[in-house]
Amino acid sequence: MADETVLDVRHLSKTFPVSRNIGQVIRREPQQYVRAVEDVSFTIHRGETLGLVGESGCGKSTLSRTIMRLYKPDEGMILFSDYGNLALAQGRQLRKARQRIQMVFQDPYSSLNPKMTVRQMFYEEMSVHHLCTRSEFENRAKEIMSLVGMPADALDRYPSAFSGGQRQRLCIARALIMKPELLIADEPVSALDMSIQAQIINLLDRLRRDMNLTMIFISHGLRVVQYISDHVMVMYLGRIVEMGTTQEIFEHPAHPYTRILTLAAPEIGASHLDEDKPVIRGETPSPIQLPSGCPFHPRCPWAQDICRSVDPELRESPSGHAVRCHYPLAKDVEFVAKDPLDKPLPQN
Amino acid sequence: MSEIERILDVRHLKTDFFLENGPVTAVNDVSFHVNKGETFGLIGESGSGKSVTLRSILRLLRKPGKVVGGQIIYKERDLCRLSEQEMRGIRGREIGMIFQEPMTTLNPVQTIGSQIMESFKKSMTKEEKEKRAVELMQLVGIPSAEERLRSYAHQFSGGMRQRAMIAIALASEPSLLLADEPTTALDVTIQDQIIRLLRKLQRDLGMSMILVTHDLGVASEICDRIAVMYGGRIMEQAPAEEIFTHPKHPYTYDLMRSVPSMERKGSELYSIEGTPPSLDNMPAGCPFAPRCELADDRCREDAPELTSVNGEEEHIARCWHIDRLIEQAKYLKV
Repeated sequence: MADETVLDVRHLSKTFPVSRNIGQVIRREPQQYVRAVEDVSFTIHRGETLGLVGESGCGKSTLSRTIMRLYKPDEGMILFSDYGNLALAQGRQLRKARQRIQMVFQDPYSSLNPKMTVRQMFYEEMSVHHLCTRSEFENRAKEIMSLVGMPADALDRYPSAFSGGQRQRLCIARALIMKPELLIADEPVSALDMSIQAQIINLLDRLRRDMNLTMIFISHGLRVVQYISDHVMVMYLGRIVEMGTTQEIFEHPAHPYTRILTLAAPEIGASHLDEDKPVIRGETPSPIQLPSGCPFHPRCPWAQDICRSVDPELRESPSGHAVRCHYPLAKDVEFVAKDPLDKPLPQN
Repeated sequence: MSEIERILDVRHLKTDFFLENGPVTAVNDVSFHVNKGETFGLIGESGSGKSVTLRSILRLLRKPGKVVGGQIIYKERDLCRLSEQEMRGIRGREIGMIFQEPMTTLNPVQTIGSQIMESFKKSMTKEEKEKRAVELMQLVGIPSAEERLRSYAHQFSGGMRQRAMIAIALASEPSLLLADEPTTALDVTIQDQIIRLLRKLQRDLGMSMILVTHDLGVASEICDRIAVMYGGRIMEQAPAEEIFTHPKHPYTYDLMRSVPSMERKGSELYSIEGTPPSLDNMPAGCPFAPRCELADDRCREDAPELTSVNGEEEHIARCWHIDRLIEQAKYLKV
């Protein structure tokens, strides 16, 4: 089925307490919280890639870790495939679901155990989940190695024998050997050399097509996201500021932040800076004490009075292009407030 | 001498690393010059020798690295022949440097202010020094500079640290600034701010700059002339606009083709197969030959020399097949 929903996240929030020193505890200063992820809702259909964009500290990694339930969310639901609500899942149900969500991390040097051969690594993972017998494993391992373009004899070598690009291929293989329904790739090419980046992007894109893989692709590199994603979600200070198809986001960005991000990415052949393009001022404010009104207003070149006092709601166009801004830049699109209870829960 | 003043002239620089298994060459016969007031870009992947070149210029190489050949002429003096004493007068004073990781290069137990004031003249009074330091911090866009003077590096964000680094480098009013991946560790919006800052400062102060980066976009926005390095050698060198519109070396061309973009969406991205060569196992011929689509037997056996393209002095490339690439580039839009 084309429109089958793999992941349906609703109103997900995650806060972390800020550590207090002994003096603050004695003075009974109130406990402060970092709102890492706040009221995030989105869905991904099978075979789709969702690009997740934002500056460091915007909560994109926390979001992906919360989806995997490496963190327990404070609020909200994570409806994943046939596994129910992961936000409340425990024990067996959670273990089963986690097999089906796999991650690929940024740094292929620190995410592979240097003291295990590739075969041991794969086997450990498969045997922990009782997924196959020893004989089945051999075939599966060889199959997955050829899928990611690695020779089968690499199975008996240690990670130190491989280059960065090859290691990232192994990380992808390790994720895919579990036959995941959802692959979360957290900055998978940022640490790689430029001639290797294209190889890995092509590999991910091909695997996605061949295996009908659903993917969340996290990156601060906008060009990569633009190339690989079907939908794009832009986050700022833990919240979604804009969401839509790749075309909507990159050709008609509605939120000032998205627009500035797309302009800030240096372009080849631009030959010297365009001095007139709008520039973002300052830096991301502290997530502990958010500015009043729209959290983006201190850096927004188009901020008005209302932005300083009233926090905008996430509004949506008929096509599903959503934006959190009082004055969206896409003038010809009408955005209306989203009804939070418009979707029925799946029956089970 | 011509009208354009050459501030730095690197001639046939060769830097070796003396490892247990014998010496490996990290920088091989690299020659380029930097004119007054211009930005020269060194682009390449990790291990291509771009950072080693930069460190060789300032003689900041750690053992077992050593410059074994060539000349580095700065204002009519060969930096390779200066004593360590004389070099100290140039390093940080006439030639400033900023690094990729501001956290590891700033002193964590010294205030930002005192690190800026370190390189001021001894004859200045404390008040003069502080006033000048505040001016510099304002120049690089650090808000509430007077209070920040007494802050430590850990109290700064990544972007602010990089600004502080730039302020320190500018404190001695260098005539040449060496920037080693100054924006790589930063977010895109902050990267944009730093690029603009560097460009503005360079223009206002008439400073020359060498920028080392792996990001073609950054290089394209800020550099006047660019050299592309691979396996310790310069593969192509040309004015920035020329190199991005008419690349004449297969490596430059392939790099640009492999950058993802909207136009290429849906079709498979071009990717250069294989991995960059390791320094201790360089191919006999052209270093790029094992990964090059145009490579033939001659490329694999015989290393090409840098030759000028179309007889233009400014544009040089190291390839046996320049003519074929000129033909090909006519049909393929980058």
